[in-house]
Amino acid sequence: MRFPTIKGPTVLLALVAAMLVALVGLPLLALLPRMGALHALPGEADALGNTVLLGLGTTLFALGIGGPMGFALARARLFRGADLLLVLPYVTPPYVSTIAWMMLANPTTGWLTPYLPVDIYTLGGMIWVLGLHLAPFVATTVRDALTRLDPALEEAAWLSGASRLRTLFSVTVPALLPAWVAAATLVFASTVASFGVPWMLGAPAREPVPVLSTRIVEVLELGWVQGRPLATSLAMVLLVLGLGVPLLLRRLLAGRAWSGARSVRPLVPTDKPWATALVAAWGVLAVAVPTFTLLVASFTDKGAFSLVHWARVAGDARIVDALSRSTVVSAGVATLTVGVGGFVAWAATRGGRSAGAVAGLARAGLAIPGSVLALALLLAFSQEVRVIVAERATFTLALADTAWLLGLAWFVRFLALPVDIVGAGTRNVHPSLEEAARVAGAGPLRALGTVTVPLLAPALANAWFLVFVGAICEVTLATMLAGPRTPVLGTMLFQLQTYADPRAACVLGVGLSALLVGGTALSRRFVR
Amino acid sequence: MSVTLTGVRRAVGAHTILDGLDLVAEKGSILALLGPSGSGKTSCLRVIAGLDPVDGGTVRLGDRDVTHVPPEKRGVGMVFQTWALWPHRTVRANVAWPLQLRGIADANARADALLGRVQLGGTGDRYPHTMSGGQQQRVALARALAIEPDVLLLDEPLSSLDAALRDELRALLAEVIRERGLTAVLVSHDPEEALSLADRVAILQAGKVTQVGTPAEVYATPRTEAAARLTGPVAVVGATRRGGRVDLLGWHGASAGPDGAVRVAIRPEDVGFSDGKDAAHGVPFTVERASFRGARTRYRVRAEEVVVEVEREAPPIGRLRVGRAVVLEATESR
Repeated sequence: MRFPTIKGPTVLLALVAAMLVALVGLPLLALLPRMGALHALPGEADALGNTVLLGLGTTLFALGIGGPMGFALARARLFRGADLLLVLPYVTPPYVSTIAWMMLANPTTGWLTPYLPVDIYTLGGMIWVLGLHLAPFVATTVRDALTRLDPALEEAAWLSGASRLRTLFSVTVPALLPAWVAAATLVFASTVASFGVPWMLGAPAREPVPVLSTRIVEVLELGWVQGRPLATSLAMVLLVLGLGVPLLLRRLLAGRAWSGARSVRPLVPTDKPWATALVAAWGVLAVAVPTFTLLVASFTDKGAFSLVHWARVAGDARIVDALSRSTVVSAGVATLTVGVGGFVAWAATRGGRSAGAVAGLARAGLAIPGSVLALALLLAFSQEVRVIVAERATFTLALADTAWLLGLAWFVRFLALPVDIVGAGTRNVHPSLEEAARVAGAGPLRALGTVTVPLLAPALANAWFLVFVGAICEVTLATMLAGPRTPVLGTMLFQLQTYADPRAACVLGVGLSALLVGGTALSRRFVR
Repeated sequence: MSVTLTGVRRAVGAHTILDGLDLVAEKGSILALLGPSGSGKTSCLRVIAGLDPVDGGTVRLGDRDVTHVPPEKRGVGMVFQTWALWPHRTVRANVAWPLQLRGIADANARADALLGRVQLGGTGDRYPHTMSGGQQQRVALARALAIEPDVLLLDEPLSSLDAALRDELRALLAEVIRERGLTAVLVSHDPEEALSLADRVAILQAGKVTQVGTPAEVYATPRTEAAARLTGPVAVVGATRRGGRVDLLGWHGASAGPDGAVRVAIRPEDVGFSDGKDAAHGVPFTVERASFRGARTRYRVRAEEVVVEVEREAPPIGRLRVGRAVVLEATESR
C-alpha cells in the first residue's frame, strides 16, 4: 500500500507523534532518574509477592473458567443471549461487582456470611472478583481460536486411534497454545496493573493485602515530597511486572506460534448438556447474583422497597457535580480520541511504517499500568510550565489538580481503542474506494470525508462509545489525578463505598451498569 | 480389505447428503469418487472413516460391519484436504503419535523410516509450519500410513499444490499404495488426478452413485452429462434420436434407445477438421477462438447453436485463424 503523496496527513501525523512522545514517552523516561528510597524497597516485598500471587491466581482462575466456556461457545448450541451473558461481567467495571460482593461476603455484616464462612477482603476475594471479570476475555479468545481451528486436526487424531478425551488434551488444547498465551498474558498484565479492586478489598481488610498499585497511592498519600521517590521505584517494579513480563513471555513463545490452520468444513454446533449447564452457572454466579444484590441494596431500606437511596444520590450536590464533570470530560475525551485515533488508524493502514510506529505509541498508553502512567503524568505536570513566546505573551500551564490533567491522561489512556477499532474498520474499506473518489475529482481530504468516514461511521461510533464508558468508569487515573476540588464519578464511588455510604455506591453501580448494558446492546445492534 | 457401502443414507436437517448410496472398493484397488460439489463425495469418505454418522445403511470394511464403530477403532488411514498436521508437534511426533497410541515401542524409529519412504528423511525435528506445502502433504501421507492401515482415504490430497508438484506427488502416492497393497478411496475434482490414479471411478450425483467403471469406460461412455463433464473437457449438444440413429448436423451415429431428444457428448479428440476445401463430408463450422497449448491447439468452433471444442496438433506453420470456416469430421464412429 502506498501512502498518499500529500503533505497534510504527514504533518498531522508528525504532530500526533510529537504529542504522544511528550505525553507518554518523556514522562515515562523522566521516572527513571526520580527513582529513590531503594533502601525501603525490601520492605515492600509483601506488596510484590501479593501482586504476583494475585496475577497468577487470577490468570489460573480466569483460564479455568474461561477455557471451558470458550469450548462451550464454539462447540455447543446454546440458548439465546448466551454470548451477551458471557460478556456482561467484562463490560461492567470490576469494582461494580466488587460493591455487590462486599455486600454479600463482608466477614461481619455480609448477607452470605451467616451461611458461608466467606471473607471478600482477602487475596482470594480479589482473585474471585477479578477472575470473574476477566474470564469472558479468555472465553472469547479461546472461542475465536477454536472456530478457526481445523476440525480435521481432531479427526486425524481419532483416526490415529486416540479417544475423544485423549484428543482433547493431546491435540485440541495444545493446538490452541497461541490463544492460551495471548489470553494469559493479557489477564496477568491487567490483573497486576489493577487498582480499583485491590484498593477496595485490600486496604480496609483486617489484615491489609497491599499490592504494588495500591502501595503507590498509599505512599503518595504520606506526602508528595517524602513519598515520591519510593512511589517511583514501586512504579518501575510494576512496569516491569505488568508490561515487561508479559512482553517477554510472548516473545519467548513467539517462536512456537503458528498461524492457525484454516478450517475447511464448518463445524455444526450440537446440543451439549455440560455446556448449557456451565454457561447457566456462569449466568447465575457472575451476572445474576451481583446484579440482584445491587438491585436489592439500592432499592430497599430496612427490608422494604424504597427509593430513599436514589433520592439521596439525586439530591447530593457533590455526586451530581461529579457525575456531570465525568460526563462532560468523558464525552470530550471520547470525541478527541476518536478524531485523533481514527486518523492515526487510517494513516497506519493506508500508510507506511512511520504511521505504524505512531499507532504503536498510541497503544502504549493502554498497555502501561494505570498507576504508573498516572504517576508519570503527575510528576511531569506537577509544576507549572511557563511558555514564554514573546516578552508579553506568557502561557502558564498549570494542570495539576484540575480536570484538565485527568482529561489528558484519559486521552492518552484510551487512544488505543479508536486506533484498534477504526484500524480494523479501515482494513475493510479498500483503498480503491478512495482512489476512485480521487480519480472522480475529489481532493484527498474530500475523498476521506465523503467516502472513508461515512463507511467507517459504525466503527467510529463504536469507538466513541467504548472510550466514553471507559473514561466514565475509570478509577485508577481518576483516583490519582482528579484533584480534591474536581471529583469525578470514579473517585466519588470509592469515597462512598469506603467511607460514607455503601448504599449510595450501589445506586451508582446500578446506574453505571444500566448505562453499560444498554449501550453494549445498542452498539452491538448498531455494528451489525 | 474391501470397502462396502450399502444403502447409506445421511441427512443434516432437511438436507439429504447421501441418498441410499451403494459403493464397493475392491481389495487392493484405487477407487476414485468424482462428482460435482455438493454431490456427497467428501461425506462418503467421512462415512467410511466414521467421522460422520449415517442415518441408514451399512458400512463394511472387509467382512466387518463398522457402521457404528467410532473412527479411532476403525483403523483406516486418511489424508485430509488440509493435511491437518498437528501444529504443536514436530514432524516426527506427528507420524509417531499414532504408533505410540498403539503402544509400539520403536515408534520414533518407525516414524523416521516412514519419513524416509516419502523422501523426507532428516526433517523429523522440524515443525509442520516451517515446511512447504508439498512436504506437509508427504508428512500427512506418512502419518496416515503409520498405523499400517488396509484402507487409505484421500480427500483431495493434491488440490492445494501447484501443477508440477502435483504430478510428482501423484506418482509417489500411486507407488506407495501399490507397494503396500492398500485399498484406497480418493475424492477428487481433478479428472486427470482421478483417471490416472484410479482402477475404478464412481460418479456421484446428489448423494447417489450414477456410474461405476474403469476410467476408460467412464471417459468413453459416460452415462450422464455430469459424468461426461467430470471426466474431462467435453462439448454436450442436443440432438434427436430416430430409429436407433442420432443425427447431428449431418453426422449419423448408431444409438440404441427410444426415439426423442438426446444429448451427445463430444470430446475434443473425437473430431478433427479440415480447412473447408472438401466440404462434401462434413458441416461447415466457424472458428470462434483458438488457444495455443504447446504441442496441441484447442479450437472452439460453432455452427448455428452448436459449439464444440476441438483439439488438434498445432500445425507446424501458423494455425487456423479466428473467423475461418472449417469442416468437422468425426474421428471415430460415434
